[in-house]
Amino acid sequence: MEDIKKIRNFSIIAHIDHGKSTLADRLIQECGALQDREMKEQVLDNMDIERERGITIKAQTVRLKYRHDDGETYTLNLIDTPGHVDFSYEVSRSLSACEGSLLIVDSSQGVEAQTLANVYQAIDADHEIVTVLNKIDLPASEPERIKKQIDEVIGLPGEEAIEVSAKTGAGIKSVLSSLVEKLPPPQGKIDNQLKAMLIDSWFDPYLGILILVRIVDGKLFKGQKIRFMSTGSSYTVDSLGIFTPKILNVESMGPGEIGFFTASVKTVADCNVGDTITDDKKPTNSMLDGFKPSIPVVFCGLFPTDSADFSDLKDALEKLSLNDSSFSFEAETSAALGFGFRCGFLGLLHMEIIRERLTREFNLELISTAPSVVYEIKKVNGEIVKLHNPADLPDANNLDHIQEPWITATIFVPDQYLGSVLTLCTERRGEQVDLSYVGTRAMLVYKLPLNEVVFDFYDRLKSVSSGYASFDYQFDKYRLGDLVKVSILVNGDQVDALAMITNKDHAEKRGRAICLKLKELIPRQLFKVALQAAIGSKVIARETISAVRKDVTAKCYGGDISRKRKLLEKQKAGKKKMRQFGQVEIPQNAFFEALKI
Amino acid sequence: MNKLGIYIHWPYCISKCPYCDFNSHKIQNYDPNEWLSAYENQIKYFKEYLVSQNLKNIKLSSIFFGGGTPSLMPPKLVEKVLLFINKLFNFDKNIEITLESNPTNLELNKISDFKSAGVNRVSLGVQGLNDTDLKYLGRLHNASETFIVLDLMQKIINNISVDLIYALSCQNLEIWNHELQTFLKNFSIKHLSAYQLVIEKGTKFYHLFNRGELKTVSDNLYKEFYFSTKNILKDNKFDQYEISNFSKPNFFSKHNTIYWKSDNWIGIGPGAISRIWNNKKERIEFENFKKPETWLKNCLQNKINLKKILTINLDASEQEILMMGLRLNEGVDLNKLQHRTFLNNDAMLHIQKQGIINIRKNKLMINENYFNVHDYIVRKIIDNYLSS
Ligand SMILES: Nc1nc2c(ncn2[C@@H]2O[C@H](COP(=O)(O)OP(=O)(O)OP(=O)(O)O)[C@@H](O)[C@H]2O)c(=O)[nH]1
Ligand SMILES: C[S@@+](CC[C@H](N)C(=O)[O-])C[C@H]1O[C@@H](n2cnc3c(N)ncnc32)[C@H](O)[C@@H]1O
Ligand code: SF4
Ligand SMILES: [Mg+2]
Repeated sequence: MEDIKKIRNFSIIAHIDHGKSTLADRLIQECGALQDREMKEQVLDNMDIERERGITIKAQTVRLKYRHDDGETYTLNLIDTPGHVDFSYEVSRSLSACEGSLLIVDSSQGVEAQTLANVYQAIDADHEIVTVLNKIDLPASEPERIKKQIDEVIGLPGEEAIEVSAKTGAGIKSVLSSLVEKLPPPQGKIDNQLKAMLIDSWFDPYLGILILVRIVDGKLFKGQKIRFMSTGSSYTVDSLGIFTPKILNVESMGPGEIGFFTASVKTVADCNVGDTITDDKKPTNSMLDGFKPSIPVVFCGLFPTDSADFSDLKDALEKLSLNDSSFSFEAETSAALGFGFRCGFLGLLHMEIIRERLTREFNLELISTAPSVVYEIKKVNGEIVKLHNPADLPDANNLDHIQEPWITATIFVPDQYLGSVLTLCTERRGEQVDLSYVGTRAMLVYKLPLNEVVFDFYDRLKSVSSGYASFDYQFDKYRLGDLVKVSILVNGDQVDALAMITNKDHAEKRGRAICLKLKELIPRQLFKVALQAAIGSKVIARETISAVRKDVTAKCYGGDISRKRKLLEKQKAGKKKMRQFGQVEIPQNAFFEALKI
Repeated sequence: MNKLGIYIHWPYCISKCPYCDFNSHKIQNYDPNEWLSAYENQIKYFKEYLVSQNLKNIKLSSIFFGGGTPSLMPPKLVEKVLLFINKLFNFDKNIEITLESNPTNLELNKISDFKSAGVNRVSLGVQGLNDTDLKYLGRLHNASETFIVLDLMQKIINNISVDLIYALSCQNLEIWNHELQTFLKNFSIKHLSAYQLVIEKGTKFYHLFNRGELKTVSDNLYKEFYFSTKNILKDNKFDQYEISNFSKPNFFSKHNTIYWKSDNWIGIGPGAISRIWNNKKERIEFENFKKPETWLKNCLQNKINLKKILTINLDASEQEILMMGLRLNEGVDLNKLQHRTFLNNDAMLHIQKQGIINIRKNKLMINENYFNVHDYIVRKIIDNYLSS
C-alpha cells in the first residue's frame, strides 16, 4: 500500500492535438516505466481507431514511480484524457479521480476552445493546475505571447507555465518536480469504511469485466466482499491491479490510489460509472457524489444489414456501453430497414467511433440513418414527449408545439476568417452573445440550434477558416421552434428512415437538396424512379432518376465467355450493398448520406 | 447437349482496325504447311479427347473459320483443313461451314475456290454503309467496292451474312435508318449481325477515348439506335434471334447458336477457346496459347501443349448457361439449370411482375424491349458469382 502523502493524482488536459498523449509518453519514459524498445508514439492510445486517427478517445490511467530531488520516491497516477469535445465526459470523470490537472497549451497555437472548456472543468473540480507550454521546439512557437494569453483569457499565472517539448523531452524534469511540489496529496483515511469511486469499466477477453476505481477511504483487497451501492449487488474481489502501463497485480489498495479490480461481475447493469463501492460487511453510510450523467444529444438508427444479426448487435451494444456509459440505445423498428436500435451519442465523432467499433471489434455490418437531435414536443392533450426519431413526430393536428435544443458555442478564430465564420453562424440561425479579442484572434460566443450544428457545422467551420477555428459547445436550453417534418417519398412511398425535422424557412431548400442528393446516391434502375420531399401531403421538391438505357455487351461469342463472366463478377462485387424498398434498390449508405446536405 | 462445332482461328489481317480487340495481327511471312500441320495436330488432339469421353460418334454441326481475316488464307489450306476434319468427324448432313471475309476484290477472286473447298456460308465484314463511317472505323475498303463485291459474291454463295458496326459518333440516326433501309432493299441477304460500337480495352479507340479524342454516342442515343435498327430489320422480315443477330427464317447461325446454347465446341488456332461437356457432365474449358508463334510451336510438337485446361465449377457453369442463354430471344432452358442456387428469386419475381423477364414452357427469357440492359438484368438475378 502506498504512503498517501507521496501520491499525486492528475489528469492531463488540453485542446485536441496539443500533445497530451505525447507528453504522457515522455513522463512514462522519464520515470523509466517502459524500456525504450517498448516505447512507441502515444503509447497510451492503444485502440486501433485511436492510432489510425491520431486522437485519444478513451482516458487511460498509468501509475509511475518518480524519484524527486528531495530523495523521496513519489507515486504519480496520471490520466491521459481525450481532447475532442465529444469525449468531454471522459475528461470530467477523470477529473473527479484526481486532485490536480496538468494543463497543456500548444505554444505555437495558444488557447483554444477546448483549452478553456477543460480548464474551467478543472477549476470547478477544485483542482490545482500545473500549466505547461508544449511544442517549444517548433519555429512557430511563441511562449511569451501565449503566457500573456493564459493570464488574460484563462486567468492563470502565465509566467509560471513550464516550457516543454514533448517531442524532444525538453523541460520534462521540471514538469515532474512541479507536479510533486504544487499538487496536493490525496486526503482519505485507511481506517474508515471502504469508499471507492467507479471511474470506468470495460470488457477484457481474458480477464472479463475490469473495473477502474479511485479509493477515497478505506482499503480494497483481494478476497474482500464488496458492494455496488447503486444496485446493492455484491461480489468478491478476485484480483487487483494497476497499469504501469503494463498490468501489475497488487494485493490491496488504499486511499488515494487508482487501479482496477475484477470480481467475476456478470451483469453490465452493475457497472455504473460514478457509483460508490464499499465493503459489504462494513459498508459506509454515505455515497460519493458521483457524476452528472451524460446526456446523449444526437440520435441515429443502427440496423444490421442482415436481419439475423440483430441479437449480435444487441450484445455488442451492451458490451460497448460497459466501456462507454455516455451512449444509449433502445430497440426500434423501421419499415424500410427492419429491426434495429435507436442510439444516442454525445456528438458526431462519438457516433462515428461507436459505429466503427461495432463493425471492427464485433464484425457487424450496419446501416445507419442520419443523425437527429432530441426534440421536445407537446401534444394537444398536454403530454410532453422527447422525440428521438423524426419519423415518430405526431400529425400536425395532434401537435401543440415543438421545442428544439440550443447550445452555447465558443469559437476561436483568427481575425482574417472572422467574416466567414460570422456568416456561417448566421446561416445556421445563430445568435451572437459575445465577440472579444485574444490578441489577433476573435473569441465568439454564439447561441445556435443544435439541429444546425450536428451534421457538418464543424467541417464547414474548419473549411471556412482554413482549419484555424476551434469550437466547443455546451447544451443551453430548449426553445420553441418553427419546425416541420419533411418526409421523403420514393416512387410515392414514404421512407421512414429518411424523414427529418427542420426549420420551416429552410424546409424547401433542404427538401430540394435531399432529393438531389438521393438522385446522386441511388443508381439508375430498370425503370424511372420518382423522388419527392413533402410536408404533410404537400410536395415541396421532386426529382426523377431516369432508367438505365445501356448496359449490354453487343457481341458475345465463344471466346468471350470467361472474360465476360469474370467482368460481371467484378461488377457485382463492386456494386454497393442495396436495400430493396418496394421496387427500388437503395444503397445502404444513402440512409445516412442523403441528409448530409 | 449433343451439338458440336469447330472454330478455327486465323490470326492475320491486312492491317489492324482501331476498334478491334480480337487476336489479330498484321500479316507476316508464314509457312502454310506448318499451319496445316499445327491445325491438324490440334484437331487430332481434340478428337482423341472426345473419344476418351465416349463422344466419338457426335455429329459435327458446324465449322467456322474466324479471325483475323481467314479470307486471306490460301484456299488450299482451307480445303486441306476441311478434308482432315472430314476424315476424323462425322458431318451432319446440313453442316454449316462459314468463313469470315473482307468485302474486297481479293476475296471475290478466291470465293469459288473456297466454295469448292466446302465453305457454304460467308460472314462478310461490311461494317459500314458509307465512306465516312468506313473511314471512321479505319477500314481499307470503300462503300461502292463493298456493294459490288457483295452483289457478285451472293451469286456464288447464297448464304451470306453481313457484319455491321453502328451507333458511331459520326452517325446521324435518321441517315443511318435510311441507309439501312436502302441496303436491305438492294441486297437480299440472309443474315445480319448488327453490333453497336464497343470501345474495347487495349484498342486504339480505347486510347483515343481516354484522351478525349474520340466521342461516343450518349446512352440515350445508343438506345434509340438499337431499337430503331431492330425495328427496321423486323419490318424487312428479319427475325431477331439474339441481341445483335437477325436472320431470314432458317438462316440463323448454327455455329454461334452453339455458344449461346452452351453446347460443345472445339477451338483450333491461336487464342481459341473450347468448351466440352465431358462424360461426368462437367464442362471443361481449353485455352490455346494466344501468340501465333507460341501456339504454332506448341502444336508442331508430337505431344501438344495448351495454355490451360480446367473444369468449370458447377455454379460458374450454370451462370454461363444463363448469361449466354438470355441473349437469345427464345431464352434459356431452365432444365439446363439444375443447380441454380445462385438465382436471386426475389429479384426475379420483382422484374417478372414488371414484365422485364418472362417464364414460358420452362424457358426464361428477357423481354426484347429490355435487351439494351441485358447485363444489368443478369447481374440482378444472379446473386453471387463464383470464379471458376
Ligand atoms: N513538434 C512537436 N510536435 C508535437 C509535440 N507534442 C506533440 N506533438 C505532435 O502533435 C500531434 C498531436 O499529439 P498528441 O499527443 O496525439 O495530442 P493529444 O493532445 O493527445 O491529442 P488528442 O488526444 O486527440 O486530444 C502529434 O502529431 C504529435 O507528434 C512537441 O512538443 N513538438
Ligand atoms: C472477328 S471480327 C471480324 C472479322 C473480319 N476480320 C472483319 O473485320 O470483317 C467479327 C466482327 O466483330 C465486330 N466487331 C469487332 N470489334 C468490334 C467492336 N469494337 N465493336 C463492335 N463490333 C465489333 C465486327 O463487326 C466484326 O466483323
Ligand atoms: S476487325 Fe477484322 S480486319 Fe479488322 S483487325 Fe479485327 S479481325 Fe482484322
Ligand atoms: Mg491524446
